[in-house]
Amino acid sequence: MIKKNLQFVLAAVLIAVFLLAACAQQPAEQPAAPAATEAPAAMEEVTIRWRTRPDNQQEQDVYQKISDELSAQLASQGIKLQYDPAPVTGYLDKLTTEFSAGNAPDVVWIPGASTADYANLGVIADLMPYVNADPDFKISDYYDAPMNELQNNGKLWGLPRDISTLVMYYNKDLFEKYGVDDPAELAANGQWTCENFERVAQELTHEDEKIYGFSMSNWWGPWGWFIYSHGGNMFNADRTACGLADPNSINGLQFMSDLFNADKVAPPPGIEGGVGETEFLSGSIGMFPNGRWMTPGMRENAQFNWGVVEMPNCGQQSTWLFWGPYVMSAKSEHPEQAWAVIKALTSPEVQAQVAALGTNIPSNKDQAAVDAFLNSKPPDDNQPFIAGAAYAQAEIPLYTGNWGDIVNGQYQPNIDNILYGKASVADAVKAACEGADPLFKKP
Amino acid sequence: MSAKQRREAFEGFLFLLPNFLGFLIFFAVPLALSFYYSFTDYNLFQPPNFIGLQNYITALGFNFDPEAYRLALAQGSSIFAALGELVTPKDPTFWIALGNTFKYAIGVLILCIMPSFFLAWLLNSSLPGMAIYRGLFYIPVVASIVGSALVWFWIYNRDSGVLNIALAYVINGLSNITQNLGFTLPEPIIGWLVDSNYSLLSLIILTSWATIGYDMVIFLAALQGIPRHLYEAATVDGATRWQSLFKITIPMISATIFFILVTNTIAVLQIFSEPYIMTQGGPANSTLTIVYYLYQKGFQRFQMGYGSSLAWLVFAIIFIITTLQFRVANRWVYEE
Repeated sequence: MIKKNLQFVLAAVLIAVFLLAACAQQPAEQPAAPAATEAPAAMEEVTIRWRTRPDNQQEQDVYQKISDELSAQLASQGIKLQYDPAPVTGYLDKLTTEFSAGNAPDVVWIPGASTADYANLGVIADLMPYVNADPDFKISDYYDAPMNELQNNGKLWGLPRDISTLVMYYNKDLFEKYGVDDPAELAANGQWTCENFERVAQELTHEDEKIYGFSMSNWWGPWGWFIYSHGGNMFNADRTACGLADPNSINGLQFMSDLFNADKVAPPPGIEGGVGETEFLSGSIGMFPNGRWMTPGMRENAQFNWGVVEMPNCGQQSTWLFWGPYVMSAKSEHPEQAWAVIKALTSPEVQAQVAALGTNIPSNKDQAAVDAFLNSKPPDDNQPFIAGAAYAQAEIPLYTGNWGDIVNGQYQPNIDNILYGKASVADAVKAACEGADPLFKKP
Repeated sequence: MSAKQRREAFEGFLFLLPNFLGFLIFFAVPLALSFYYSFTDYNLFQPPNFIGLQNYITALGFNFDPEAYRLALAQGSSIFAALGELVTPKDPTFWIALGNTFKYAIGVLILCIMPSFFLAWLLNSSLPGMAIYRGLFYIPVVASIVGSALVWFWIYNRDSGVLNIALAYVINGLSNITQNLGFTLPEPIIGWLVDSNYSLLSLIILTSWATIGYDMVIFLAALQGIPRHLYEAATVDGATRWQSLFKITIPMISATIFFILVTNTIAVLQIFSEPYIMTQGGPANSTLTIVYYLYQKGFQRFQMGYGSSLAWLVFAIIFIITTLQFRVANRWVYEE
């Protein structure tokens, strides 16, 4: 009899342990809750949980340091920052789950193109009321391009953490080896045109030695540039229809197709961040367009002399301005304090610290921040990054449709067909627009 | 029931409780929820609205457009092209994904089942070192799919991948011979993952490489279960090796073949990791499988209602195929 009772007790204890173990998982995910309940009587101390997506460990360390410094600075306002890191792969997947569960960080960075999706779904807060209530804050302190995209229908969805323009990285050693004109010199003489770009790529290409003049990763950044640089557009004016069928867009895509299929100055591109970057790093590609985020990797791994130059002029001097905002979760329990944190994170002082690392360009036009960036070398000449910001097309949050369905789902497969020579530009563009047009939200 | 029996039953239930709770919370409830979501427009953030069969209609339905048909004919298209304008699928990408998945499944089944049986047959001997060979073939199965995919990603690289380098070496060697005979072989640069004609084949090869070991081990176990006396009796009757293979070996392991066929089919129709890691469905949707497509729709593009309906459609398809396999099994599976 006693043995039976013992068994019963053991089973009950086992179940209790399992249940407690399951419950114990929760607090690790929600440290904000217990912290907030410890509020002392005099000044309510609020913990703002925030997150960004650093590209490497050095950046992560800087953000952690910034978090601690701002915590000290903002303690007078009763704000304590808690940096909540997340892995780089699956960053958005994790964030989506947290938004869905309602326990996303108060302040979080998201890619610019995702802003519209989260805004349309109602999970991020409109910051315009806080801007209007804040006399010291000026929207014009930041670059116009991202700020224009962050505002829609009188609402402001976030403040840009930093910007990154698309520039042409080039392998100086290869140019010297084959005696080809240096793009920086051509640019200085106002001769960095698309004709010269094509010529230079052809002179660099030696297929028997597996050296190619040009390469790019296959995502909307590089192929989108071909469209905009010829005066075209991915969408129509109010972004309610496909813009690839525009004659200028077609010219741009035809130029791109010729580089890959007719001139054969470029190997077939791989996916974003994949083969293309690695091949450029290995020294077998002459020119490679990318954002500022490739610079730290170049500094660490490139075994050749390299530089950057603005994108060539194909008729419409153009480049991309990649950006990402800090947004506020709509379910944040302390929106006033979260707004103060967002302002602090995008202030010139904080941006200068991150810019010194060299990964991105400050979104604040303040001269101190810009100088910190310009002094972050190599490359010796950082001016092409800043110069591009003046005429760049900002990364587009598509408020009038689902970016994934339209660009990744309809445009990308047809661009693939152009790049790999499986379809003519006319056919590909027709198929893309036929698939994409029904997916826009008409006014 | 007596008090003692009731007590025992209750204790048994308590022991089952943790597992049962886990099953409920992590499997049964999400399954039921996903079935519910498939009839809504759930986007992960806002409360779902019931929309009935709309998701299923979008996935499986077709648009009927006589206007476009007449327009195409007026513009001079052939009757076939015009018919293509008359009836168009509501979600063409769904059909592309489904087609890719079926091609993938057939490719993997062909590359897995017969070769793995052949391997098992070869390795079913007591020569020294057999355990090592069997282990070697099984290693791809236990290797993490992510690690394998990353390694194969570089093997398949067009310019610097091992595969193309080896192919070039072999072809160049052969062309030295063929040149003396008077003709030259074409240069073999295959795009593999970046050529939409070869991308699906590349993934099929990878999946087969990772599955052959598993099938082989199961076949090996089955082969070792065949009674020796059957072969001896056959030899006495004068059967050749081929005859004993087809008349004894295969019928005796037909139940295992059936098991392998069913489990491999179910697994391969749900392939997700390889396209997710290596090609993201490209180039030009040539490696977009149906589970990867529903992941894109549900998790990346916030259309969880539609994604759930696709998941249940996949379930229905696999269920129908498996049922058919069981029906046909009665004719060729030999059970003692």
